[in-house]
Amino acid sequence: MDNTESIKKDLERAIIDGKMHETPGITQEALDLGLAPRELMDEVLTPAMEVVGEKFEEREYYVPEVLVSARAMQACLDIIRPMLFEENEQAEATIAVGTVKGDIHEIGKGMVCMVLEGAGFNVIDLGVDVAPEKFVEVVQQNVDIIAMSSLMTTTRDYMGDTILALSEANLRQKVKVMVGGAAVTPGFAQEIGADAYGVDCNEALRIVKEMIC
Amino acid sequence: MIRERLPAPLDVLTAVGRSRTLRPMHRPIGRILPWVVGKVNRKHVASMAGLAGRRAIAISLGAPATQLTGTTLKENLQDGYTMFRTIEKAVVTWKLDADFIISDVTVEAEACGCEIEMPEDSQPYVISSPIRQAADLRSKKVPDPYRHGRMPVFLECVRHLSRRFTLPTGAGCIGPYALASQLMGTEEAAIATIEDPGFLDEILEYCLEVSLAYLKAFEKEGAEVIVIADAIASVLSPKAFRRFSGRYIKRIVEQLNRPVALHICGDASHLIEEMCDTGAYSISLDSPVDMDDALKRAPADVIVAGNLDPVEVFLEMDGDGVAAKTREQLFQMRNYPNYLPCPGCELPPLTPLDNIKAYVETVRSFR
Repeated sequence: MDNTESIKKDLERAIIDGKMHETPGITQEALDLGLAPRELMDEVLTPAMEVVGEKFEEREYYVPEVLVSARAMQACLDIIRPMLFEENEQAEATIAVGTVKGDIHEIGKGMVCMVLEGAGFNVIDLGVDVAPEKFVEVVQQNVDIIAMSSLMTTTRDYMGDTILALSEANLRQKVKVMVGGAAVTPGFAQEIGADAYGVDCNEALRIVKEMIC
Repeated sequence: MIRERLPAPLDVLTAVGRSRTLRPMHRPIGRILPWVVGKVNRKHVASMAGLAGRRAIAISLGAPATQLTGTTLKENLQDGYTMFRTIEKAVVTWKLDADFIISDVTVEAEACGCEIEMPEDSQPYVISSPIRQAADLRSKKVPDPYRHGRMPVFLECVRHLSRRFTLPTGAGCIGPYALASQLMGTEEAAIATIEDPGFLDEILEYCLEVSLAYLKAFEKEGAEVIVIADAIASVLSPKAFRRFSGRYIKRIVEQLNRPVALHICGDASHLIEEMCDTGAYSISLDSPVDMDDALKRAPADVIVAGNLDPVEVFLEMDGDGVAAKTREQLFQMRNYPNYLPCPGCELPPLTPLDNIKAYVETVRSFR
């Protein structure tokens, strides 16, 4: 019993400290000890990323520290995710995240992905420079929320275009749309008919949680 | 020459001629700066700004000015003379106190071998990052500013500007850390600050050489003020900033015989002291930063520029709104001689011209 507790602690520490080379080993060890993937997800990964999120909010952690923690978590997730699906578990929601067309700012978008993934959601990272058609395409599959980022006033209009394209494809009712990024204001979000605006990754998580309630 | 006898209220800035003149002595601010800087420190420049009688309108308006000349941003960023004509139009129309080239954060990256994408009316952006490992770096040469990529375009523009105007001519470059982020990818660069600082340092040394070669060419062509935009450096902690950005910017400041302004995009509230420590004459802050707090923390000899929201204020408000917001900030900062009103970041190309007019007039008339 002690063993499993201490290994959970080790894994949590490794994620918080961003030891991305160590997490795969510890994860494997934990699985070998008989811990269930779901248990690791709920009792280690999610709380660990919450701690990272808090540290970021309190400015103890900055973007590089968060990214390293995210990579550490990712390394662990890569191992346990296939097993989660084997157990036929469903994520609470699927969120497709991308930076809009003409825009290659990836940091903010990446942080949103990682926070949502850490909270146990199924995240589809569409990357940067994502055209409206691409968003429509993923919505046709099983996506509950799309999140768009734009850091340039010259690209933010693609958010409105995407929402319009969704309406034209009769998909607007099917998904919630959230937007963010330095070029976006709450007023703009309302104007283009987005469901929510988030100022940073922690707010994005709160919004997603509200949306699926 | 700054102490020219002028009628009250003292407005040194307006007294600076705006037309072409053959006599260097008629360029009080522009011509003086290069050799004054060698002899005096940033304190004098700051007090010069403080004594001007009003706040200077030293902002980059090239991108929105493309509306005045009916050109696209792309045309401007590809041809030095077109860009010069656009900026000339902006300076003459709005009676600016300085002439700045249009900022383009992809020039150096492109000259270093990054692929870029150039939309007609939007800022270009980097789409490939060529450096993945140390070997990639070793094969890289420092680009020649007179030959490679679009560097010659910007040099040509500065050459025209410094001949045409008696105002301080401003040129700019991207900061070393931001350039490294483009060369190796933003996430990779951020992670390298923790995982592989040695490799990142190697890249930064290269970036520093690229910037210095480019800026020295600007100096030669007549640029009197240099703006370094280490755009993405606000993601770093103060410690990492000192180590991976500030240290390199300091070296640029030391090696140039020009006043340097340092701009950082986003929330750089945690970096005010570090930015000032680089020796920059001016720090330029984006809209998320609290200006009052920044001015309290910055030494009196550093000009703190900022930070009306380019989107919420300049793009989305009307002329009256912009004037009110501008006046509000001018009033709040009235007791800081080293405050310089500026938009927080580059203005969008489609900023309504009325808003710019409202801003410029408000700043000029505020006493």
